[in-house]
Amino acid sequence: MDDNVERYKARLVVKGLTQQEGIDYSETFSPVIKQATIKLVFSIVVSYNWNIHQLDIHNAFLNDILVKKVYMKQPSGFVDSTLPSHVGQLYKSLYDLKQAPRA
Amino acid sequence: MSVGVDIFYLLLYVNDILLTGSNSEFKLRDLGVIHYFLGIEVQSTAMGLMLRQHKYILDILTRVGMTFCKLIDTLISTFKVTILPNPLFSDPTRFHQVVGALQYFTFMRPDICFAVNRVCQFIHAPTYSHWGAIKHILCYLWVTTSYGLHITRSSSFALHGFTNTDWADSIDDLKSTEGYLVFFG
Repeated sequence: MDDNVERYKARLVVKGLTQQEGIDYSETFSPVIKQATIKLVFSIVVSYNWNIHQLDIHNAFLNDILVKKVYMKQPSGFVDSTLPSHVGQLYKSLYDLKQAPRA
Repeated sequence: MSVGVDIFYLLLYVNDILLTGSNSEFKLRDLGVIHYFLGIEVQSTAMGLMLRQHKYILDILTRVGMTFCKLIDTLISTFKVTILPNPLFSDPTRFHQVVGALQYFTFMRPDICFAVNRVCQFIHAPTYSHWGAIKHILCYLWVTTSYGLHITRSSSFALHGFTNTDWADSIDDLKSTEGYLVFFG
């Protein structure tokens, strides 16, 4: 670890607090695993002598296809000068949407 | 899910996934053999798998400032933890934070479950004596960070349940504490 910048990251975050239940979102749960399930799977793996692999989904929060219609204002600094009052409809989830964690 | 004679199990937590099965050909990118999952370190042994939370426990002990503890090998005092008169702890928020973190330690550490449950019963009005009990648990963890759960091969998949109660042992309200354990294999 040193002072050099490895890479720059930017992230588009919406204002989830402006969403209204029933209109922009319905369910807000996040799936959580039970510890007993993890131990059970490890136990089965060991007893059957199976391989156990691990994988990661990049940007999991951004993969959900939205069921509700959600519109977003153009982000400041990136407003189209010819169509400044237009909004965009989101097809996939963005960070801070109420429904993002259940992706 | 089951496809013909091949069986797969999939464990999913937001963006962490475990996949296992009798056939290891998948059309998915995998990060190799499991080694670190939800803060649990997984190590292969001759007998099976060793599950530890060594890094997580060290992180929390560092955050709480408990890295230079008395070397003790017990985790709770034989004196009963009670609500009896004792000055209230000056920083209940800190108490809540540490108790909250301790709950996650219990996943791979059944040995501390009872002691952690005991201190959890006083979060509404923690006293200095309860804070002492927490520090006692933290010291024990400091000595035993490398402890873990060793999952070993089993020829049977039978479930065995055990339960017990202490019959009104609480000196505060004469309520009982009961516990249960379910063994698989």
